[in-house]
Amino acid sequence: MSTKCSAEPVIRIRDLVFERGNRAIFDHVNIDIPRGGITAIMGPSGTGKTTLLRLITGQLCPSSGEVRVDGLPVQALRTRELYALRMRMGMLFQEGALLTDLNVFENVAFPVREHTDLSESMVRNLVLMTLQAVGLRGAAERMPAELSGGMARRVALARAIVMGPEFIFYDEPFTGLDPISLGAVVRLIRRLNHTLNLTTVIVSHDVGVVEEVADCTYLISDGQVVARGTPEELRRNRSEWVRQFMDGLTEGPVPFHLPGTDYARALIEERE
Amino acid sequence: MCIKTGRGGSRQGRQAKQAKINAKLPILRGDCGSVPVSSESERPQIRLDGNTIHLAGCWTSLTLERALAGLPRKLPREGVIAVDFAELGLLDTSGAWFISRSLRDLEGSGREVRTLNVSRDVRALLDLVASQPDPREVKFTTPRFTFLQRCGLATVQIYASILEYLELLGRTVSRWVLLMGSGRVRLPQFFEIVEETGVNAVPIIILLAFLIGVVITYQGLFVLRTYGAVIFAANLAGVTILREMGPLIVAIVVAGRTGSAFAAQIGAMRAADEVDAMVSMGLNPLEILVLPRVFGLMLTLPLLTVLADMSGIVGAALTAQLVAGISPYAFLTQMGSAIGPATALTGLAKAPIFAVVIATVGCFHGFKAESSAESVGRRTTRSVVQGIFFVIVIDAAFSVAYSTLGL
Repeated sequence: MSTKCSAEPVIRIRDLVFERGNRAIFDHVNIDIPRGGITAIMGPSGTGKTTLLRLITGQLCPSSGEVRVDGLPVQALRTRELYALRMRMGMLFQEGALLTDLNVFENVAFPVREHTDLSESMVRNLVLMTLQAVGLRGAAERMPAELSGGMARRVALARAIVMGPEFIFYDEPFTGLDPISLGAVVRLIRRLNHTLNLTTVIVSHDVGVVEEVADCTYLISDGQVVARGTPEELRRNRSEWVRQFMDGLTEGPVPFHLPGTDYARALIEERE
Repeated sequence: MCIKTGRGGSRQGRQAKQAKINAKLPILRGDCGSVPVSSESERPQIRLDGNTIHLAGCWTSLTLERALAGLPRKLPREGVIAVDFAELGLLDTSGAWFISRSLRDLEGSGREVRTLNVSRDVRALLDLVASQPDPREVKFTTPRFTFLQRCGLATVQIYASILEYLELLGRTVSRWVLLMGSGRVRLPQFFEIVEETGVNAVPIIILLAFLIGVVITYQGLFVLRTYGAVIFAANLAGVTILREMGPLIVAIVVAGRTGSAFAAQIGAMRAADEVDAMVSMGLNPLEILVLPRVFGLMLTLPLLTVLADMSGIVGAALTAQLVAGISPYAFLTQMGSAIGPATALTGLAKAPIFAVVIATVGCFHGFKAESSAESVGRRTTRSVVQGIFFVIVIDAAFSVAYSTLGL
């Protein structure tokens, strides 16, 4: 396991600073994502985990610092090169983000038709094979509105892998799933990572599932990397913050009350 | 916060016990805590003895309501007022505030007040309460901007959103220019847009243009009859419909029907992350979502304008026949002598411009929507208002340009 976590990094984030308004979302963050492994980015809500994915895919630009994917500086790429890089990436959004006016088959076929000139029969075979891989070939004719949350996510997964990407990014893939769907998604993530030799990045705060699926975990809080390591290493980590997050404790370094002015004063003081 | 003062005279035995309990329990319990207050002795009591006010009983939030009613109205008219705390039972911040407030009011009205037998704890509580601003003097004001500030804010916001809109327009046009060479056209989407915005709008456009033709001719006949020049209603109707009303009524209906639909469609896609999903698949949302809509509308708007022109003229001719007895043949001949193809073309030339504006304003607001249904709705409304606004502004600009060019 630990070998996978320290394997050669394919995505390198160096000295990344990203600000929104006056708030620094990331403050000199360094992250290495190993090739061929499953890396989980974890942290409390609002720490900018999704923002990190957008920075890696070049949808946002950092204030300073660098993101290199397979040696390519994402932010310095020309539009054409950036789109070429994005074709090597698959991304799965929280709710699936399927195109609502296309059926399941057409949703999966969409990137194929957009990017290639394959014949209709090849598109059909490719799409059906991909849907078979996620176990939803039977739902090919359904509309996205007729799918359950877990099924929609698996269709989106099929759409994300249909172009044969090298990288796949999952944005909160485990939220709001029943145990059966959750199990199916977890198994799929593992199997696809293994069989397609993908580099996987999962953004999540679901501690239990991530421990099960990830080779390597980064804990992020307040714009800093708090801890990094295999699930085994994190379980042994004695840092107060890591324990609070991993064990879900109310009190700890992360306070229940957001710091503010004096409570009594705030209640009676004149508002400026 | 509650302090046991422990000086209750006859109640000392009970209070000693109570003091032990209170030392452990931060929340008031026991003989002062029951609601409703059961015994008379637990109430806050005020006894006037010469110039001295004796405070006794429990002065807590639970018992205080009665004290407000029981306050002696008659205070000694002259001299120093003394307040004796010796018999005070329990005191919490509510009681302390009530006492402190009353003392402050007395001092405020020019009386000298002295306090007697104040224990250290009670003094600390009174000081704490007195150090806070008097809640009665607190005025809750919501921040309000002056007229000038609001004007400035609105100006900055409008300026920023115009810049953003121009960015979208520029990107759309540059994408269009790039694609012209490649010959990649999204025909299915294009035809879908044409059907949705064009074919489906035909009935409403025909009906409205017909009615506009009727109204213009009817009004014209009314005035021209005074001069015995009813036949010139044909000139009036022809020029008005072909140059102004035809293109304008089509643009306004389409802005309401289609601009809003564009904003809602793209806004809903944004809310569901579909736009982000496209970007992550290496696709350009401008190319997939905006360009077919712009092209589609650029084709349908001029066609709808031609329909509106024809329907308006039919309405005009029919009105002339029914109201003034002018035969359609005479009416159209007269109209033909007054207007030429140039009149119709000056009107038609506006339609593609209107189309670009309506489509891009609708798409712009769709992209600006955030991930909530409420935001999508607000953006939809705005796309209609701004679409119609820009159509009318551009129409005015065309009028000025045409008259400068002598058309």
